[in-house]
Amino acid sequence: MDCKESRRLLNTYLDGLLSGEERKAVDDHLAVCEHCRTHYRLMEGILVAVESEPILELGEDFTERVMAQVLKTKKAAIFSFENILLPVITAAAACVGIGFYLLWGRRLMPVLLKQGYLLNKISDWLLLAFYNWLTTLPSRAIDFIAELTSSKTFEQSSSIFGGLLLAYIIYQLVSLIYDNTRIKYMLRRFLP
Amino acid sequence: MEISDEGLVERVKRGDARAFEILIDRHKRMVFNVAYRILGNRDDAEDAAQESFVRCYKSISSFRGGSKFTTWLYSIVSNVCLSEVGKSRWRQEFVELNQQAEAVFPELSEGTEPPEDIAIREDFREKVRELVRSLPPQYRAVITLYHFKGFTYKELSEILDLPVGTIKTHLYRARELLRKAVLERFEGGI
Repeated sequence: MDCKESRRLLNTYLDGLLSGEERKAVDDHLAVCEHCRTHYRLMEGILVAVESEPILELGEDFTERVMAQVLKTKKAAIFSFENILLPVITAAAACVGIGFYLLWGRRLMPVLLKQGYLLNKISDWLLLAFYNWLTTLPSRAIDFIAELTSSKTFEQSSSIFGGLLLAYIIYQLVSLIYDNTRIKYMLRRFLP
Repeated sequence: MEISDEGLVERVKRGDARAFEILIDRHKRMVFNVAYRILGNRDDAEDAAQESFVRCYKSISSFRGGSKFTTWLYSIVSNVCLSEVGKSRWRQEFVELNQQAEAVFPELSEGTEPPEDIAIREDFREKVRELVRSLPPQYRAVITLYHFKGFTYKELSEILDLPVGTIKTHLYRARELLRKAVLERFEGGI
């Protein structure tokens, strides 16, 4: 092994990551080459100095300070997207859906029902999808429960559910005051 | 029996704030010391350590356990520290120093052979630490996480989001810059 090759392998040698054979070749070279040995010792000395830097201690109240900030973050999260905006968006979307059904739903249904072939196809696809879903149900259920308890999905799905509930309550309240005909009449004034 | 970091993370995800307190107590010292070695200033390091833990808490639901918790935590720490020193600034220094490292490979001159015990000389150690602090932040991060914290190449690659080959190159260049700086500083004998 020459000096150039020894220098090339020096870093891996210092990290102790050379194979037995390569390591022995570098050892043999260092034993006979004073120049490379000096280079190696200097490098080793530098790394020992880097590793031996004394450990500094933190102030005792560090954990308390971080926890105070973390709990502030938690409080702020109560007014987060999941808790406020998502239920409102869901409720609005559901209200628009209900409105759409009331206005045009009954007119569109007979048109769709006439498309027998299409409906057969759709039911075939649905059956196939249902079968697929059924066969993977046990593993999906486990994943779902794990996901539910440990991730944002739980917060989001509960928010969506909250939004739907809100839309239902709005619908019920409006229905208490007005009957369906009046609601349709009111919606026509807002929607094209 | 001591609960593992990953076990504590699961508890934090279920809303147990006490579990996060245990995680902080367990890692704060090393997180602070790594930040100090990258930033070179005690106050900045304390702020960076605090910010790292807060970010860790905020994004804990995204930790899926694909890697060790410490690998994930130190990726946050290095991100916080490197953005603290200003990426635009270190990028410039980084390019310049890379060119220097490639252009200059100083040969040891006669009479500069270090004695066997240079590493135990406190003045030598202190000078080396000073020189580490003058390296560009990205190199300081690699040197600190590898030599001080003891992460492997692979873990470093996950922490700094760089390929293993780049980590090796950074480490090699950081060491070469250090060696060159030490030789310049101790010209005429160590």
